Amino acid sequence: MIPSRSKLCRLVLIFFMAWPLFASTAGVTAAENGFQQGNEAYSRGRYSEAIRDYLQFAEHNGVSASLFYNLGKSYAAAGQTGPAIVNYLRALRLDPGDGAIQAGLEQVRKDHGLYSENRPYYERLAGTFSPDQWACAAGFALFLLSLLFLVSVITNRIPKMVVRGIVFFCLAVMMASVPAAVFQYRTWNSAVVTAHDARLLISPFADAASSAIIQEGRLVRPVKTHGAFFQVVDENGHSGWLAKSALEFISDLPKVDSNFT
Amino acid sequence: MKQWSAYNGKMNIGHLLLFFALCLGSAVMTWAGEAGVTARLDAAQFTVDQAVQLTVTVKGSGSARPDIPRVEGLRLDYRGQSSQMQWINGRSSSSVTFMYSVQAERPGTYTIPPVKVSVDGHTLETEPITCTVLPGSSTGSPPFAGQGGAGRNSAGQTRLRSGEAEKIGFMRIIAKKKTAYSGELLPFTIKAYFRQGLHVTINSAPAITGESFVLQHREDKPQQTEEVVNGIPYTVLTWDGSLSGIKAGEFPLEVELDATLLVRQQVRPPSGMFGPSFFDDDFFNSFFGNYKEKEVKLISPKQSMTILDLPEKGRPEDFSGAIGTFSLMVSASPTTAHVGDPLTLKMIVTGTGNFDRVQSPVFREGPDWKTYTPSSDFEDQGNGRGRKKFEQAIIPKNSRLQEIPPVTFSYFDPTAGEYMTLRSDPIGLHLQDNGAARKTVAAPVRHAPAQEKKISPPKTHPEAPAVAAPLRTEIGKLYHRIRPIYTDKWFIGMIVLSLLFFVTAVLLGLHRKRLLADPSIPRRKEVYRRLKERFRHMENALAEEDSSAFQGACRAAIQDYFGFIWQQEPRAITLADLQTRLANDSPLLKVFREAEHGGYTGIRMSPEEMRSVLNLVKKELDNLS
Repeated sequence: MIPSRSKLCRLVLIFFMAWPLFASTAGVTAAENGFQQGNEAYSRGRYSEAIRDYLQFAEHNGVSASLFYNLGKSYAAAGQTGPAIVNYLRALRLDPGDGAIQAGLEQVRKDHGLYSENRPYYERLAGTFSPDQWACAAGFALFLLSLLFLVSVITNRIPKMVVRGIVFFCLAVMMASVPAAVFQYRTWNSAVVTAHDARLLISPFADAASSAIIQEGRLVRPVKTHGAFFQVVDENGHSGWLAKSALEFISDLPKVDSNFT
Repeated sequence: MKQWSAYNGKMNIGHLLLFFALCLGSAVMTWAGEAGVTARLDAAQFTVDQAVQLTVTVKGSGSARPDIPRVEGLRLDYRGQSSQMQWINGRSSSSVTFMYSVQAERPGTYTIPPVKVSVDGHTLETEPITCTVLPGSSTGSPPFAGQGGAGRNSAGQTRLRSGEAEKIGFMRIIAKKKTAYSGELLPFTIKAYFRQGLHVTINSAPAITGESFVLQHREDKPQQTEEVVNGIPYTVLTWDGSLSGIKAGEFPLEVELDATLLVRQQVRPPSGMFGPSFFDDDFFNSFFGNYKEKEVKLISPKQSMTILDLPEKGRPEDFSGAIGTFSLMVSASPTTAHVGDPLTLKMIVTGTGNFDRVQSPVFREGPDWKTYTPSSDFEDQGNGRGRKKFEQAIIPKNSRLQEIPPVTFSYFDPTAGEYMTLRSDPIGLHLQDNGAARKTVAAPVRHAPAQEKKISPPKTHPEAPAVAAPLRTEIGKLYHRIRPIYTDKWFIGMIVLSLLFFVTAVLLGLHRKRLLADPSIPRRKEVYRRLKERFRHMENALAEEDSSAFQGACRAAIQDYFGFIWQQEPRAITLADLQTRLANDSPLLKVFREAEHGGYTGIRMSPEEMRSVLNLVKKELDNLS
């Protein structure tokens, strides 16, 4: 039985309309296969293979909190403290409230003695939430405050006690979260030491004298650059020059490491 | 008066006679001074591309001029003259110095014959002068480098050994000790002496030559002082630093320094047919002189240093190569904790010595403690003094522990010639048992000790990872950048919307406040709205040529307006009210009257009249408002 011309046209039209849906589904499936391959390699104890799969997935499809979390776990299992910490921190950037990521990060730090000196109370308070969380809190408080203001001006029917309560709450949230967000965003461009026992040099030259040894996994804040070196300040306030190759920025996307390809 | 004048005149004559007698005596004594002539050449040996100075000094005559002989192959050019006169104990002497530049046309040995000078009919002569002219080179040593062997290296740089070129400068390295142990920090002082007046640029810091020593520290900027050595003033650059010997033996210690001298080249003037030119004067020679940069290397005299090996006997196990004099300070915090809590052990080593070899004091890791690689921080206090701070995380694994055991630090004391071990006191510890914490520590945490950590980490580990949380199986939302939330569009939109709400609310609030402050505003607006409507009706009536509708709208407009002004009900305003309150010649009164009259009588208005009335009413009401 030969379909009529109108039916044929309708079928072709449906096919072309549905094609992008099929294609995207197939793409996602293929991509997820790469991710699942990494998971499988990890579960078999082949951590370097898992890292390679995750990095390749990231290169072609993008990154997610879950991917960074799994990558962090794989690096930790492979004994690479620095990359493990940087990937856990990346995961927290994408999903700041995730308790499992926090726990994974803390565990790696504890396992390798990466403790920081007692920080001032305001710094600890600001560190309660991520910078994005603080920014969200401040943004929503501002939105609520302005909306309430507008509604109360238009309708003039909201009880004064309610208005005062909401205004007080919003202002309190904003006063707490704006400075905390600003303080926390200072460390947005921080980096993690990924080299073993990297040396802080007193000047940006390979043969310069070293002033201190900085542990792998330490968080540092680059303040200046010169040639192949960054001048960095670590969490304890120590300053010095560190080779660029010894650092990995948290806000950078992971690159496929030649060691794992 | 006349007598007084005569007496005065006698005195003047006597003084004049005395003055002439003195002058005559002086002249006789001057004449009696010995006349003589000498000639001197600055350098007995020079190259063909250099010029040296011939100085001819004539004593006892101010007008004599030397007769410079011609020498085949040498050119002697007049450079100027200077005169000198001295009075010593009544005896005077005078001399005139004539200067000539001497340049050779080719290498060889030349003899300048005696220079003759004619003084008052007598002919005086100098001794003949012999000089050697060497072949020229593009990088000849400066004329004031002296005759001592200034060697040249292949790079065209003049090497000036100390003592050979004291006219330019020399170097010294002063080591505090002649014998030291291998690795011991040996303080030294390097001094570079340059003749004052020389233009010198230091090209590099002084370098220790030889492979038996390692420069540990040297000041970047030298101190500049002035010293007089053998009566010659020098500008002295001084560097303090320290070095250490690498291996045992007796080795020469030498230091060298690269510098650039600015050397003035003698200008060879064209010999004029009219004798020495105006520009032959020394002033112009130095002003227009041709300066040339000359690179030199100063080398200190060799010193012999004896380096000894560290004794094997009594060497502690934890000795890491630290040599010097040190002290140790240890503290820990917190001292009250739970089992499994990390404690920070702070160890500070201070003193004088080779801090690059100072390693962290040793904390013995046993079954009761878990330790981590210490971090270090060095503070250089100069001259080998320093302070190295170590911080080590340690975790107690046993609740029975009551103290943090002592740490040890070993070093070699070169003064005493023996090894020393510093041992800290135990630090009291109050531990509380904590089941959960113990469990965490007891878990098989994979951690490489310090020595193993330096080895490249293995690619795979068969042990179970320390973190037991499961992997994520869902990929979740994908991103292509990690960026702060404040750059997201939705966040920016929310902030912009919030500000918009805020501005709108403020404007609305202000508007409402204005209305509350002046209640006539809404009424006025209402009247204007009604007047606009009346005018529109009038215009419609005009367009339809409906005279009665026009007049009705006209009346209503006037009533509306005055109703608002007079705070009355508009429809209650009559012609009588207008007549009472408006002037008799008011156009609005007239218009109202005609409109009312037309309404009663039915008299129709022409379109022109209606247009004229419309304009009139509009104008009058506008004026009134």
